[in-house]
Amino acid sequence: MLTRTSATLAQSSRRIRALWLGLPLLACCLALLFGLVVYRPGPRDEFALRSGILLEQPRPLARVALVFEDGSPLDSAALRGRWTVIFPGYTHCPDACPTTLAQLRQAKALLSAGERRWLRIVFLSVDPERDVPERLGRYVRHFDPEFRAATGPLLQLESFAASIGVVFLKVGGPDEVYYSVDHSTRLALINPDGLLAGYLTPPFTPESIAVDLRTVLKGSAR
Amino acid sequence: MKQARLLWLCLALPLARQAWCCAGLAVDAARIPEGPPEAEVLAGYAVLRNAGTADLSLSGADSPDFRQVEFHSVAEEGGRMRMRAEPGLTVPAHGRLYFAPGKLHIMLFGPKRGLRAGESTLIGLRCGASRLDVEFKVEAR
Repeated sequence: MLTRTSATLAQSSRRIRALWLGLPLLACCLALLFGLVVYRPGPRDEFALRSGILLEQPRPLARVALVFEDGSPLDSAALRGRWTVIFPGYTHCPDACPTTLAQLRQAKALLSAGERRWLRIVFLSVDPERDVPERLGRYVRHFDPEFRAATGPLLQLESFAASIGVVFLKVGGPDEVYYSVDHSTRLALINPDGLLAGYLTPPFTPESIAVDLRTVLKGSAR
Repeated sequence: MKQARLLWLCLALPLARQAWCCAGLAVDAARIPEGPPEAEVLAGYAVLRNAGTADLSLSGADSPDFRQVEFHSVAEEGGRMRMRAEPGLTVPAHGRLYFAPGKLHIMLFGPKRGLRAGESTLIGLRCGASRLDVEFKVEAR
């Protein structure tokens, strides 16, 4: 009787020890399982761009008097409500600018009508001497009737460009009429609050632009 | 076909007439993407082949449809697109020279008429004293 009791005791103490070891292990397994089930990638992962970067903290744009092709002011109010892609260039640029504008048109066509509704594309001329607003309007509408264009007085343009991380520099050509303007190749992304949110960086393809635009548009629709 | 005929003409003509061709030079895929109606400059692209045994120097170009024609290279440096005039280019012996978007183009200043897709224009490539007139097709972008 006595021996049986001690045997039972020894057996139950072994069980308790197994329980002590097993319970934390079980808890770990359950926690892991729980984690796998409930884990969703954080916002940062969702916002990773294929060909570009998003700023951790969106930045305000310089307050300057730039105008759209129709004469209306390009200010932070005008940029609210949609995502805006600002593409710096000039109409006397025969190679990179029309290529990128055509790629933007093709990228836009890859988006759904719903996505396009949240998107605005603005060609920012860094050559205000030659690119007057009406001329700019006709130029961009050749690529897409919905494209907008903007420019402004040189000093204002410089400070606006600096606030969206864009630089440009006039370079002498064969004569005064045919100078060229070196300019940044990246596209600035302005969020629906009118703040600089990031950049798309070359090399571009219509597909890479569309994928990245879809990423930012999805982020704002949430 | 046309280039082959030109080449044949070059070889067949007596020396005195060779001022009209760049011996051994053939041009493929000569095209100009259509520009907006506002465009004051257009870009021409092509592949130049030199079938000869000597390097061929291109000294310039001109066209009856443009006020000025130059060779321009573009390069991205530190996130900035730089465009520069190239006064002279070389098509290496048995080699090719590519005028391609984002690298090198024939810069066409001041179109004298609106060139729409489907039309074409002649661009004369100068190789020293001789020249080769090449038909460039305007293509929809």
